[in-house]
Amino acid sequence: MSTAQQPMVGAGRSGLLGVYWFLGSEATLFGALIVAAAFFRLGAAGWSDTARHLSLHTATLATVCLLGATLGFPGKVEVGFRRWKRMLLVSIGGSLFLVLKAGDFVQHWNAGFRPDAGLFWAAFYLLTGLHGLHVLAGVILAGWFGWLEFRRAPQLPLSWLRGLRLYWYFVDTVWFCLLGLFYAG
Amino acid sequence: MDWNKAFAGEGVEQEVGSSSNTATARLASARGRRPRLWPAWLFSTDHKIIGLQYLGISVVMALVGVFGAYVLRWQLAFPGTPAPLYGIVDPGPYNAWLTMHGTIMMFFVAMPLLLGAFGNYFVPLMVGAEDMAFPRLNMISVWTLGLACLVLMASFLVAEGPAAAGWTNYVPLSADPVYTGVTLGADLWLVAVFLDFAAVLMSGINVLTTALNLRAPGLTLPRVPLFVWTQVIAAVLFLFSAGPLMGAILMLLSDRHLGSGFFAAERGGSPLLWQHLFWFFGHPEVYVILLPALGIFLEIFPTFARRPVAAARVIVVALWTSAALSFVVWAHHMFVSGMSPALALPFSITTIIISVPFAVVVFALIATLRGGMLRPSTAMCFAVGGLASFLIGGVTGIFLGAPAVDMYLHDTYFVVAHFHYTLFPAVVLGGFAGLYYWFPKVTGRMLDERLGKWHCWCTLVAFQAVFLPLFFLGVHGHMRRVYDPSYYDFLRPGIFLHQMATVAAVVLVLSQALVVWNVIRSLRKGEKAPSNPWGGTTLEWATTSPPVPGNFSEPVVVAHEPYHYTDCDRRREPVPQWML
Ligand SMILES: [Cu+2]
Repeated sequence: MSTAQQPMVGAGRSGLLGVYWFLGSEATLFGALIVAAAFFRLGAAGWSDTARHLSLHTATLATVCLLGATLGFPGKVEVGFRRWKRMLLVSIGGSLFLVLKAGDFVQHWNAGFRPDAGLFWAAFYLLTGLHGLHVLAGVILAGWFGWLEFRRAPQLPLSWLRGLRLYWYFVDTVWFCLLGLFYAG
Repeated sequence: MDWNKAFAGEGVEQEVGSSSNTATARLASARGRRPRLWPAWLFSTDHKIIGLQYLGISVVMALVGVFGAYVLRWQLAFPGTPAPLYGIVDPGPYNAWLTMHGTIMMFFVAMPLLLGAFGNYFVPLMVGAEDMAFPRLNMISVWTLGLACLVLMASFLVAEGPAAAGWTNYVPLSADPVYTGVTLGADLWLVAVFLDFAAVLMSGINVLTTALNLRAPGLTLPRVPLFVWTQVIAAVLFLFSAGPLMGAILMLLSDRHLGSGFFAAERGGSPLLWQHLFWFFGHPEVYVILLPALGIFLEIFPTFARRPVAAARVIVVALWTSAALSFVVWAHHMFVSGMSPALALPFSITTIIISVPFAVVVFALIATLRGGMLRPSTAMCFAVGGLASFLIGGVTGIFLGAPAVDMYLHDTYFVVAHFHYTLFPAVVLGGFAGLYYWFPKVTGRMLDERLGKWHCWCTLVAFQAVFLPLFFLGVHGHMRRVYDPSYYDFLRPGIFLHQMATVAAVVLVLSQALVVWNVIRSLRKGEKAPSNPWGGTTLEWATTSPPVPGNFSEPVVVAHEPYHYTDCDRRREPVPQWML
């Protein structure tokens, strides 16, 4: 009568399920902030004019870096050949993105566009800053995973790589929402 | 009452008799090498120990929250006179205590108790797992909560005292110190709540993954006990509602320190945005607290009525329905806030609809009693009393869901009475029901039923005496949060009701000595508890009391749905889930 119960996501893959739940809550955090900023954008007349202060070149370059880092994740993690090199690619791409964003921040901050310069800037710093922190966390994790793989001491569990890949896709998605919110005039 | 003893001897023990030898052997050996040093206990990743740590945190925080309630109630009943053990209650500290009472009770007592303690301890046991899916995350979670508590408590020590903008922390009160005179305390509030939410999120991820992935063989989803369902739904609710308030906290911190104006109308922002984000979180939050309490009632009712829960699957559907609906009712807290009046109608409709699934659950619980062989244990006393009290809270919520009524009753003591009638039955009565039900499992000792009955009746009667008068004050027009009701001519005749509530509140607190004494006495020389003292049918009763490390000495296999009882010889014997 009793049948063996199959886990929802597969034995040993609880970690991935946990990452899904985590990203679900992250989605509501970013979702709420993005929706709030979108309402401000609809309500404020000067939003698109202010948006012109941002450099599209830097944004394009940053996007290329972030997406380039995503390529570091193989489509199928199982066949990930020389994974430490791939993890290195992820952390380098992510780091370049962060450097570009930091340059952006410093430039606008020094030009007097601070959070108190209007809702556009307040939302810009808060949302891209929070996103940047997420990229930073991803870079640190990728660097750590890559180092573990490089030392080959304990073989990295595949679920860790799958989890990080999922996280990175999420960070990419948020970045595209932010591009639309702040850069698309 | 010794039915309890008689019943325990009725042959429930021998079900596990076959496995009890090995179990006790393992227990004994485990006791021998159990790390007794406190750091080992402190850094444990065992879900049972972490559950007890959550319990400890919630009890300590409850002491602070209850003291706050006492200070407030004294000032309301005897304005301007020095409160014993405290002194004169000044307006500033009054606001601070008001804020801290609500914050502590909601975020630092209710959630740690119902999700952290009961959820951590019993979800793995009831699904037949060895531990949570992520034991280390579990430890980090309770540590994050501890840190949050320290941050919040630190605000009592800083210069201007703790936050004083109410537990809802509305802007502009919370955005600008000019209104409350509090600077650092308000920041500490924001940080503490953010950390608290991070802790509950980690715990929720654990509960969800454990309940989905670590179920014992045979425990298909329809066979999962209702308490586990309520924990799962509560975790999902929190997971998808906490984000907006955490985002709002970040925005408010930015407003306070970076000069942005998200919530400042004069700088293009919107004060209403805070209210929207807060209540988008706030209403599901109420169910995050309420559902686990209902889950405790749903376990206790069948056990002591010796009957399966009526319409158990319908209950699961109803709970999911209420959870989904709870995301589209939030603006019923904002009918008089100045939001578009056009929004009042849809939110009023969803609010009144959301009472339907709860009515289903309540009727199912009542139907469970019908035709049952009721055993009036203390746990049952608290469960029935809790359900009855919650009904008053639920029904008065329907009044408030109608905008025309809410226009008048909003921000009066009617609201205060209403939400205390929902939260007190859930947190305190539900918590005590769970304590009396599961104490033998956790400690291996029985609580004294006679003391328990006294405790139950004193608590129930005193609770009604505290909060029933507040409904009348509210209908009379008494605003909530006022510092001194004697300022207002029209409120002065009602002060005797405040005095009645305050006296009852003191009685309510003092009568908790009964449970403290009961617990201490039982831990010392209580009767030894068998593994299944009440004749429960769910998996936590399959193991020893207290459970062995690793929970089950033999792998458990689940054969059927919970809450089965045979109906022969006019005696109803439990048919536990693990019985083939
Ligand atoms: Cu509500």
